[in-house]
Amino acid sequence: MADNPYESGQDYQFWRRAVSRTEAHLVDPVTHPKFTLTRTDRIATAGSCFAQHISRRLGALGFNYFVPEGGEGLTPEDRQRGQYGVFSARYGNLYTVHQLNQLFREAMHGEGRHETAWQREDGRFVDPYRPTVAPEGYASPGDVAEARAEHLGHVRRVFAEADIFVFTLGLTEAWRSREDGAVFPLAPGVAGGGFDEARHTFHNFTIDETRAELASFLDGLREVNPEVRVLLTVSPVPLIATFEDRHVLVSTTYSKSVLRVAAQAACDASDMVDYFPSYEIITGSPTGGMYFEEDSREVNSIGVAHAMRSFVSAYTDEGDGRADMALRREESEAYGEAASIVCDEEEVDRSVSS
Amino acid sequence: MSGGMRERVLHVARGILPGSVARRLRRHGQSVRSAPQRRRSGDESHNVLLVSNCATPVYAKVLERLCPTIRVTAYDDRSAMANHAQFLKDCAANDSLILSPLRRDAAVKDGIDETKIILLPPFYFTGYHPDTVYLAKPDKTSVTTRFGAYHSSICYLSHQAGLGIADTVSLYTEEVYRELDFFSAWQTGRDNLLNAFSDAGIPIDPMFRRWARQGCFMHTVNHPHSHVLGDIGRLVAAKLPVERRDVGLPVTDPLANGPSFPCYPEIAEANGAWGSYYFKPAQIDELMTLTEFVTMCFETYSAFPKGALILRNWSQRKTRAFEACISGRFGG
Repeated sequence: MADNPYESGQDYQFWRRAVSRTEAHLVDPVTHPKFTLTRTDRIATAGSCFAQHISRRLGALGFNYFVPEGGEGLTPEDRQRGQYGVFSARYGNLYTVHQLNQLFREAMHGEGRHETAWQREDGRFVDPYRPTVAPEGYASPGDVAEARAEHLGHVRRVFAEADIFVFTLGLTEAWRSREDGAVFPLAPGVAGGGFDEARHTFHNFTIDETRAELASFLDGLREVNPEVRVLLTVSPVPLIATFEDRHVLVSTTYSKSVLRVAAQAACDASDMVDYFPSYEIITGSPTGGMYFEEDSREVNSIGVAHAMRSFVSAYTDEGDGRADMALRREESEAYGEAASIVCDEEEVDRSVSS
Repeated sequence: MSGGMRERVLHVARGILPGSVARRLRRHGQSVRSAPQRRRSGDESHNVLLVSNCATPVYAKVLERLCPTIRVTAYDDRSAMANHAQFLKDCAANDSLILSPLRRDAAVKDGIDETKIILLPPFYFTGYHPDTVYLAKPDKTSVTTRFGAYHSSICYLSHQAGLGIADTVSLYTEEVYRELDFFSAWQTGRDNLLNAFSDAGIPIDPMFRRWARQGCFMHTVNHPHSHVLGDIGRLVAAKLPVERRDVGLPVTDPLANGPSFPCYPEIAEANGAWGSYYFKPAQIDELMTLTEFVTMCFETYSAFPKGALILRNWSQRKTRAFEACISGRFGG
């Protein structure tokens, strides 16, 4: 009789053992982390909305969250309003891999853009590639360019000095410039500028485009920072809207699938790139939607906490806070006595009425 | 008949003999388990004695709802202990006995037929409430407050250490919980609970995971929400040799009127649930803040000399960890 190839499998390879028999909040899909973080490693973050959760938790957990553009000298209110510290630099949400790579090429290689400022309805100007980070806007296109030049200096430090670069891939749908192919985080006209069919176009990136762009970015990053380790995640937050003529749920599945495959390809190609399955933790059937807010889109804090527990357990040597054998034995011995303590309802009644 | 043949016959008989024959055989010294008999509606009632803790009324309601032909006599452990003779009389008079392990031991010791006993362990789970302890007076009776016999270990140990109310409240933090191993309580509490029910022949593992997905399912360490008791009652009902009907209606939750300890947010988050610091006293629909709770407890503890009370379900190792936590923290 031939050997069954699954016989030597590990528990985590079997759904029944790894999921069905585990409480939802204890399912931990990380199996072979490629590297270990220390509290002194400079951890930089970028990506979509979900990456903001990771950024916030990193600092709270005592990691060295690397923020070259932290708004030193500003009041806490101004820092918050200006989105300082949301990511390692004020690039705002980088939803697509193409957005990330174009920022990298601009910061590290001086690649220029055709559109450099959008005017808002209030007359102020914004940066087309991060239109919401400065709510007050700028007085002129020149001011936008000046602020961007300063910003790019910080971005260079992010790419060149980070020990760990955490990037959360958000989606595949984007609005681009027909003139130079530049990708905008928001459609022209949403937070500034105006949509012009002759100059702007919608594009939904394919798996080949996304995979190639991610490989290109990682190659470039290694050139400027050979020791950097990259941790890729896919945002579990569904698309808020799709421009494709189909149901937003179907478009969400397409986007996330492309990103997940691209992340895996990058991970498989390099020992310095790892994939952290926060997407699986939040969206997987074990949790059955318990990690989403009422809108079934935003991730709630207990979901983020689950992902970060798994992150700390996998990428640090600090353990996961679970009971060791001695403690389990002690608690087990005490259980019988504690469980047999007779309910004190009568005593409760007496104490309440006395 | 050879010994081996006798065993094989008895083995078969255990599965098929009606109760009357089994009883007759038993009188002749043979240990025979009667085959489960399903009674139809209109038949003679199947009498059930149920003795459990304060979950007893909910269990009784669930059993009666699921099994229309049973007649349940139900009271709690305390009553059974207080009147052991009546307990034994009830054991003898009922067809099925649903008992906690301690009551089972007491009944069997006094000659009650073990074969009609269905074990029902007490439900005790500290995963959401690792801070909860019991306190005993020197005479071994419980120290009670508006929350019955439940106390906060941090609150009590702080009082014993001479801390003030504000300092005590400041100790309800993730850091202190970590030092006191509160975050590992889920794992140990789950294992102990599931083992207790598995050992009793009513495994609750799959439903435990379902309860946990819906958030905190405990009012206190031994007061589960009624839907938990409903699920367990269904398992117990399946062991009764009577007709059952499939009823999924929710069960009222009398334990919700009792004290309710919050699952602290830090603990809750680690256990996939939502938490708070609002405490609900027994028999009244109002909430206390953490400061109000600590103040009330301090008043109670101040009535006793320092060191006079005894912590139950607690280890000295945790007391030492607590003392290390506060050492130097408050300038003392």
